[in-house]
Amino acid sequence: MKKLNAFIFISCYLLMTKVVFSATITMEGKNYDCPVISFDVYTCASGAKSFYVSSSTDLGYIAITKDNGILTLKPIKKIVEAKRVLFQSGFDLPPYEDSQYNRMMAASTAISALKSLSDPKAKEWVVEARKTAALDKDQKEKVKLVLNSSGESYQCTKGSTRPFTLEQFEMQAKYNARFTCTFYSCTGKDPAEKVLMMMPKTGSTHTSPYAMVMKDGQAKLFEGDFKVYDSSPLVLASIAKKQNPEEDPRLPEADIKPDLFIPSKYNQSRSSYQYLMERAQRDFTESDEKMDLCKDDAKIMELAKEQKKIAKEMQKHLAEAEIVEYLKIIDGTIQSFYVDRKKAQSLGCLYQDKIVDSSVLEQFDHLKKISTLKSTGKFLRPNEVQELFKKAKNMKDIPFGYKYDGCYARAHIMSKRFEAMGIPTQKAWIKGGLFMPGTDIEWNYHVAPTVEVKEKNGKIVNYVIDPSVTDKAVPLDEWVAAIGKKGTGPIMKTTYPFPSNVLDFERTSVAISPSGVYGPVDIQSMSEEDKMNLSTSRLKELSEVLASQGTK
Amino acid sequence: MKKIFLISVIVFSSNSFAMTLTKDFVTTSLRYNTGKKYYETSFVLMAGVYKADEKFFKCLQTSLEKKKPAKVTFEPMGLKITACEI
Repeated sequence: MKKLNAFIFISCYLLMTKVVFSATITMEGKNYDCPVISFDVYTCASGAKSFYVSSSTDLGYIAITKDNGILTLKPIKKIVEAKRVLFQSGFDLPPYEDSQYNRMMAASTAISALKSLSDPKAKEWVVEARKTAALDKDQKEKVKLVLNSSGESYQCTKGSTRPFTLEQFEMQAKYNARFTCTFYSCTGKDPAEKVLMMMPKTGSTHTSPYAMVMKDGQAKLFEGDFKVYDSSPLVLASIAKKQNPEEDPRLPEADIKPDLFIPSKYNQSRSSYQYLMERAQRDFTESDEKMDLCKDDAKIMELAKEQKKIAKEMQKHLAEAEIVEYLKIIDGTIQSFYVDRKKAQSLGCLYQDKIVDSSVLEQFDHLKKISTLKSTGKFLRPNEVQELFKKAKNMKDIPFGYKYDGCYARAHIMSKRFEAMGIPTQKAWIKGGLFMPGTDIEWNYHVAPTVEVKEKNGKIVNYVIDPSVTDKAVPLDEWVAAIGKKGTGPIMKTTYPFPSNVLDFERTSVAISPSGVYGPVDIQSMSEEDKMNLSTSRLKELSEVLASQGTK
Repeated sequence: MKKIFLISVIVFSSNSFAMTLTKDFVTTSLRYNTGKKYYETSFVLMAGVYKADEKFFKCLQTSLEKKKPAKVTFEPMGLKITACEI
């Protein structure tokens, strides 16, 4: 019996080895039959051409091949093993370009993928790769940067590396690594241009090279599309142009073109705008860490300072940038965004000083309904509005003490009750980076019911009834003043629907809508019954939260 | 005595265990607060700014990009997110 089991096991093993352990690999449009020679390594041959395929951390699978006697890396499109697709890449990688940098990459990949193989050719390639890798000493001190798009060239000097800490010395020895400053300061023909270049050490897959050209408060970022030369006749590095995600047809088109959010003043900095703003938002903490090894180099630090200065100016400019509201149908609802005024001029028609996209025309009647206020001519007297406030505050089923969220539910229930009392009611909205001073309560918008009041001087003023924020009914402006605002820019009075990205431009917006509008984005399919049910259940839940805390 | 004991247990438990709520929320924005080291998170319809640790970023980002609801657990007092699943 034991012999039979062993026979079956060995037969199965041999069968599997023969049937499964071979794959069809697609490279450069051709299919190759490639047996597995080690875990995750295939050997492929077609005529005189032969190569190895190995898994790679950043590209999925990569072919290690030899072109004109030079070890080269090529992307793999697909691997099919026993009719099962093991790997398929959707990326169209740029064609291989011979450079010192790429040769080093190929050498280090060949060493790690092939060193444990007993195949004589693999051994031969590893010996060759080790010879190439041995040439990879410290990064070059002086290099020339050439931008492919303009042909502009710059002379660059590597930043000096600061003395290591004991811990770094130990780490370097432990991992057989060489820590070094990877930034270069560059100068070109134009003395006003300040250029910072980052070239990671060969084989580093964690960071990509880039060059930042700064002049007159503008910054152009090149994340590729440039070449770097040293004194050798072979280019040191040829960095392919990075595909712009906005141009990638596989990705869904953005609801609003990102360029519309970049103020016209920074048109020349389009390439760097998002890069710098993201870092500025994080206070350049990560960038500073990456530059830590260069911190004794005055030139590199000056360029880093210039980079930060431009980013801070960009942030500061947002509060005063000329913007306009742009309405567009997104996910079936009318939504509003602040965009650059100049760029938006040709995007649609003007309505209530907002640019309306043609997609909104099919819901234009609805837009008019939610954005236009009709005065009923029925106004409360000042004492009546304070009486109304007291009545609202005494509505025991509304947990005014819970202020973290739920204003939309409170506002809706109050509005409908006021209307049931025969009082025409609307809703006052405020949007931005909001907070309740002296608490940890923060909102991205806030809403409360508002009624029209005829003051003693005959003036008609909107009073807001919001027991969560004030202790009496107050005019709209007082209500707005009672709420803390993070935005450093002005308060923008607008109509509903108000823009969702107000804080991106450091603004706060205030609008009044009819009472039927429920959230910051109006969902037409939501019935009045849905709104009441949602509000009631939300308020009940928040009352329970307060009760659990022993408060009302 | 027994009554006092029971009351103190109830009071103690309601104060010592933070209550949480779980809701299906669709993320509308994520903004990193450098000083406080958390993501200020907004959800569809919700007015409050919810606070999310970096470990929930992927989950909240997926909800934002795919416009799909994430199951978000949070402390109603303070709106601190304690779990996120998508």
